[in-house]
Amino acid sequence: MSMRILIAILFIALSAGCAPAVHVQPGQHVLKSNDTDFIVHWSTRPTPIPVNDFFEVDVLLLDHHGSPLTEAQLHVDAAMPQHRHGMNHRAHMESLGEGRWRAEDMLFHMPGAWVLYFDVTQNDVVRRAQVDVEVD
Amino acid sequence: MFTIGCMLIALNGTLPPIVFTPDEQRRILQHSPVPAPPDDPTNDWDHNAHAARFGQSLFFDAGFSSNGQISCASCHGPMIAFTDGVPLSEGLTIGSRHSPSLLNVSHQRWFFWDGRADTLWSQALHPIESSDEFGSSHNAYVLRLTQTPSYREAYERLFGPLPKMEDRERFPLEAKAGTPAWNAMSSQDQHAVNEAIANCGKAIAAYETQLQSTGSAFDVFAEGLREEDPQKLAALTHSAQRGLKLFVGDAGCRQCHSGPLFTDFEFHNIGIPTGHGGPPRDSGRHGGIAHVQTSPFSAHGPFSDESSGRRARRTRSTIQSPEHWGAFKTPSLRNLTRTAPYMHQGQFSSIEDVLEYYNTLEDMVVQDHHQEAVLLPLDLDESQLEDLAAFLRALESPLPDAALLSVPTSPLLDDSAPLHVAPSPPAEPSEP
Repeated sequence: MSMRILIAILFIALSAGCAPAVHVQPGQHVLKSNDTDFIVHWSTRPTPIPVNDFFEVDVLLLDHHGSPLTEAQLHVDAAMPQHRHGMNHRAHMESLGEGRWRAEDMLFHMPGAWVLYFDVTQNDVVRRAQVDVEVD
Repeated sequence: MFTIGCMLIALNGTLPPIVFTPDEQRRILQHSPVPAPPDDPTNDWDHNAHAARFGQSLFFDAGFSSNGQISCASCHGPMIAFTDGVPLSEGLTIGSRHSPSLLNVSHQRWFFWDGRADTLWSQALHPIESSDEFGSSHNAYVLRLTQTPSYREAYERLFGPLPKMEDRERFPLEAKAGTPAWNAMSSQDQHAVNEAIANCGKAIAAYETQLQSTGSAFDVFAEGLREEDPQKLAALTHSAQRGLKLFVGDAGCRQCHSGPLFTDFEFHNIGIPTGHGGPPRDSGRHGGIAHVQTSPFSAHGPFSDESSGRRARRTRSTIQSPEHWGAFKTPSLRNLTRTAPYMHQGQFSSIEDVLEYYNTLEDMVVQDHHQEAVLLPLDLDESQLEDLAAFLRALESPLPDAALLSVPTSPLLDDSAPLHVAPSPPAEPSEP
């Protein structure tokens, strides 16, 4: 085995770190935080998000190595920037452990362009991941 | 299914076909049918036939008001879709808002124009002590129950013994929430009266849950779209179909008037000029949130039958923010033909006036940058406005069963009557 191959194997192993493999489930979306420091796997129930009916968001937070972000708080929120308003009440957040969260009582009361926000608080610092969602 | 929209064509003679795109058809079908009345977990009696009969008697009885002339039906007249036909409701005095219809009311998420009640049963309690409406007190209301044998029997069969209201020292008639007389009552007596009054609200809500009105020409059309049935598609005139196309398309009506009830059940400030001509003074939803979160009769309060459930949690987590100032609930568009005048102060006397406002936004009151930012003049031409009006008129459906439209012979149902209200069969459609 040449030195070049050994280095390549070593590089791959280091890149992967010790993080467990996380499989993206059908219907699950993945995005990076705005500062690229963490990763959000998210899906909704029901799918697609209904107009003016309650839905839930299941979230898995991972750090940039792919390990569950366990020492963090998550709040999920949403807004319609064009309308200059958000949801009419706060989501109920439930921690399921190992970086998993569930946001309940989500309600997009109007059809149109929404932005879904994932705000992660760690050591008094809030970082955000966000994604555009069209509801019709 | 998605080609059948074009079939109306044939039924409209030589008129050009109205073609609904797949997206338009999907949106149209979101508006029909009206589902069965939802369960209210905070009211164990909401589908109880005996409670509904008792509640119907209470609804029509003017004897509970301080002048003996005002009942729930005074502002919610059955023959005009449970409204009163005037801009501002008239109880003991003229109120500050228009009476909304009670048809299909059990589907609502919030009650009153400002959503200051989160359940149908708690809504029914507000008029009792309001100086504009009944001008009475909870104590006086419950005393009358105890002194009216048929009411007493109906109540106690459902809910158990009434408080000993005959002791006027313990239960002074003038005692209203927040008054010294009320505060002087023991907490046990306050609780007993509040529990009895909440039970009356739950009975009235059980009656109001039966006030379903479905089966409009539009619903028949939607059924035709779903079933590919040209006969049913003919339920909407050509003009109404063009109006429907505007409604789910360029006019953007469905942004707020969504779903089977044509409302998002939420609150918006659309800048309507006030009925009194001056600047808006009504805080609308902003004040409503403050009230609903502190009321003892809310879903999370001690008289709720599920005070820690989801409904209660959603009330607690409601956000009060600056954009709620002057926002009012989106009204249902079903049965508009019966519910004039329109808006929270009855500012517009006809459907045409409403459409004209949206078309031009003339005299719009711009309070600040928090108002709906996407509200722009529709700028439709005359024929388009006529089409929209034709569609809105096609949302009229038959009134509920005649037995629900007047005072019943007795607050008591026969013991042999079924305990639970069976779902109503679909009503016959209105004439297109």
